[in-house]
Amino acid sequence: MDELTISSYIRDRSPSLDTIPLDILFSIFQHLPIQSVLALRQTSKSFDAITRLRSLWALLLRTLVQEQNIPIPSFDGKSPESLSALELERFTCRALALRINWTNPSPNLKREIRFGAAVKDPDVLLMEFLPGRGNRWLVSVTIEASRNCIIQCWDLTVLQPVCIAKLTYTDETYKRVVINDDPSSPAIMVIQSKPAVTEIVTIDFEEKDPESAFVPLSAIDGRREI
Amino acid sequence: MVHLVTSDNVEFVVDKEVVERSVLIKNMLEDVGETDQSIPLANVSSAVLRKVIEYCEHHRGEPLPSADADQNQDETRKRTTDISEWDQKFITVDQEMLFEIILAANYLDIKSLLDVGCKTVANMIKGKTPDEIRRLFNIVNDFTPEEEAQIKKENEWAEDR
Repeated sequence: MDELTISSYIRDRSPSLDTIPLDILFSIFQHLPIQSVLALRQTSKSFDAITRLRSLWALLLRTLVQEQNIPIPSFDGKSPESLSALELERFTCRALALRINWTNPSPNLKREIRFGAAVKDPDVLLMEFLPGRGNRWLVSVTIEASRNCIIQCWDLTVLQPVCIAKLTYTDETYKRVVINDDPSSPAIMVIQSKPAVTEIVTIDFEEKDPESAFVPLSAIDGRREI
Repeated sequence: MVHLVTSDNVEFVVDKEVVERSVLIKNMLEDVGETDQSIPLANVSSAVLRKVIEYCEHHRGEPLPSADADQNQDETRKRTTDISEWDQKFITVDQEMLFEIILAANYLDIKSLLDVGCKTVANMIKGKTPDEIRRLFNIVNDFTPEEEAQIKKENEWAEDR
């Protein structure tokens, strides 16, 4: 056989999607939405195997998510290199699904947390996470009966958030609270109350009694802008 | 001028500037220097090479993607499946020719043409159900009905996956 007949002999089948080399197939996948990759998976056993390759998902995670600066909802504390094919697939899908939801004009609610409020239908003045602490602690300021103001800190790691610190200002004495954006400082917040007291406060996260978990560090008398 | 010989033994004489859009041929010419000898392309038929040369002629003079431009180009390239109007018309061929062009672009190392081909196939797949994809590309369904049901259930795209 001369060279010509060999090459035409080898390629007796015309090229198609299921015969082209893997690297070309991967290039095609990079232009596809994930839904189409998952649709292809369902066409045949060989596409099922190809679309479960770790190298494919490592590539798709990099090109469809990381290079597009789409945030990834953390790898459960693992490094991307240690993730299995299925884990890489899940992270890619999750990141893209979240992206769709975040950029949607009417996003779907993913998780709802109900707080056991101290009073019925309180007016909420403030709801803020303590910064730099992994969104574990949430501070709320609510008004009860238009007079009493309750500052609370909630632990969100449990299913039903627990109030771990509580401070009540009666008779319209509360003015405002500012939360320190520096998590390394012991001073967690500054509370201003009437007539003219500014208090720097920390939270004792270990304290069992919420009523004594807010611990004043120092107080300043007189008017201060905060 | 460069002489190319296809797998079906047809000789093409092409401008060096045109044929150098193929990184394979460009490197080859740099290695052997000026030559009147023809370059054998055992993997490309005349029908396919005719199309490839048509593409290279049209895009003659456009800057070739350099090694450092690669990164930036990749960024914009991967997000979009847009194909220019001329390329769109050019790539409107039967499926066999489409895959032949993709294989030739891959072999000859013509990145932009490979890209047009891959985007075209991607556009054909987009929005289709597994069944429609099978019919379009003549893929044989070798799943048992149970396997198929299982895999379908497993892969339903859920937004909160």
